[in-house]
Amino acid sequence: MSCPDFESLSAEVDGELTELEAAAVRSHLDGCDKCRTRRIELLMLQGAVRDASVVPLASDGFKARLLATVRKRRRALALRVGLGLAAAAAVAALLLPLVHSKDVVAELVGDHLGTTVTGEEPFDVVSSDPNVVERWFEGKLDYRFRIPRPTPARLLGARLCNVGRRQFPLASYDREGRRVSLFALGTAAGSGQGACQEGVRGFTVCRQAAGGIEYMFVSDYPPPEAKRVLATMLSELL
Amino acid sequence: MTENELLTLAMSTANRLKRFACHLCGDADGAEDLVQEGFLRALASRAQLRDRSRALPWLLMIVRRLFLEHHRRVERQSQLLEEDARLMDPPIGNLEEEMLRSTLSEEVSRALAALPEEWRTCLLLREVDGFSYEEIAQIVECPLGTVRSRIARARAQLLISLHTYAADHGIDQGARR
Repeated sequence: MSCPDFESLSAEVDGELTELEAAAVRSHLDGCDKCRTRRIELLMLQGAVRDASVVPLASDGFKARLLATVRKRRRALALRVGLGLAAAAAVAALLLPLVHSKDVVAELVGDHLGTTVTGEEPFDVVSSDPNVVERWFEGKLDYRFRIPRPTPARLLGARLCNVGRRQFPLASYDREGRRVSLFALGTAAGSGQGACQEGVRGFTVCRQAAGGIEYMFVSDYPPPEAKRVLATMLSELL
Repeated sequence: MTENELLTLAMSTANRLKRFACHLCGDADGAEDLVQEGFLRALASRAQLRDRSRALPWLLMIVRRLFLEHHRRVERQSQLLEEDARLMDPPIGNLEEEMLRSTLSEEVSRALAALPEEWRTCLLLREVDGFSYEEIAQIVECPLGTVRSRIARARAQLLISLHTYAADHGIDQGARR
């Protein structure tokens, strides 16, 4: 075999030749000093290019800007929807079953994840005082979002999450170093026992009605513990 | 792909996105603006993404498209260079690894910066990010054979530049064609 062209040697070091082509090149390399030397240079060049291509890591501020991009877009979308729908209440009623769809739950779990991926707090209201947070939600929802005051958890802040054309309030807590999120899904009849599902995008999701509101609790606790934590949080609201 | 899935992807690959954009536009601040703008466009057009396993190459493709929209002149220059260039056979010499990593490291950076954008982008997507030729073809929107050719041309040009520099500075005495 005559010497392979430079392009073939280049593709060979990348493992991008077919098995047949690669076997032919390897066989040739065994008996050709010139091509072996060229191949070694290509391999060394790979390392040199990698060394020369170091750039500063993405800052936390950069990640926060990406997150803000999503939130700004959602707000703009919600505003457009709000302006365009004269019969918003009727539409909201029609969309209520969406709350129970897997996609909506997955989106909300994504919002929980969004509160954990940056060092900065992506909240609309930042406060450890439940009264402050409850007041912030006044007039924004057609029901009262009551904020539990659980111990040992510490309230970090809250925000409104847009999923589809609905908004869901989220309160975020730090509980013994773990981030947990409490959503309100809407009004519900009375109170009830909690139910949990494990492995929703890697988190445990529990739901329970209390004081006429259906709550959803997202955490990385195993289901029995998550259910107990949620029940404790909501007990004071009854 | 949902907004949150796209956000999770962008967060988890923020360093790669920034590095890619930085190599395109040449400065860190401009790179962050470029990625943010690309991310916004990706959010708006995420329904076009059919294969979720190709989400990162798709996002990089959008970032590069944006860059090219802002730098049409650069793109035309690259196309001219590519059309004119013939794959040259670089000399074979005694470049050594230590030499490349120390004496010639600045020259590697200079030679990389001097490459046509399309060659450099294909090469860095391969060397730094480890993408396959098929994935690179998706990102830069060209046939797989063109990717293979661009990477080879980029390497050939780098070797020519490094051998020339080494010979001029008495480092590489044994170069031969």
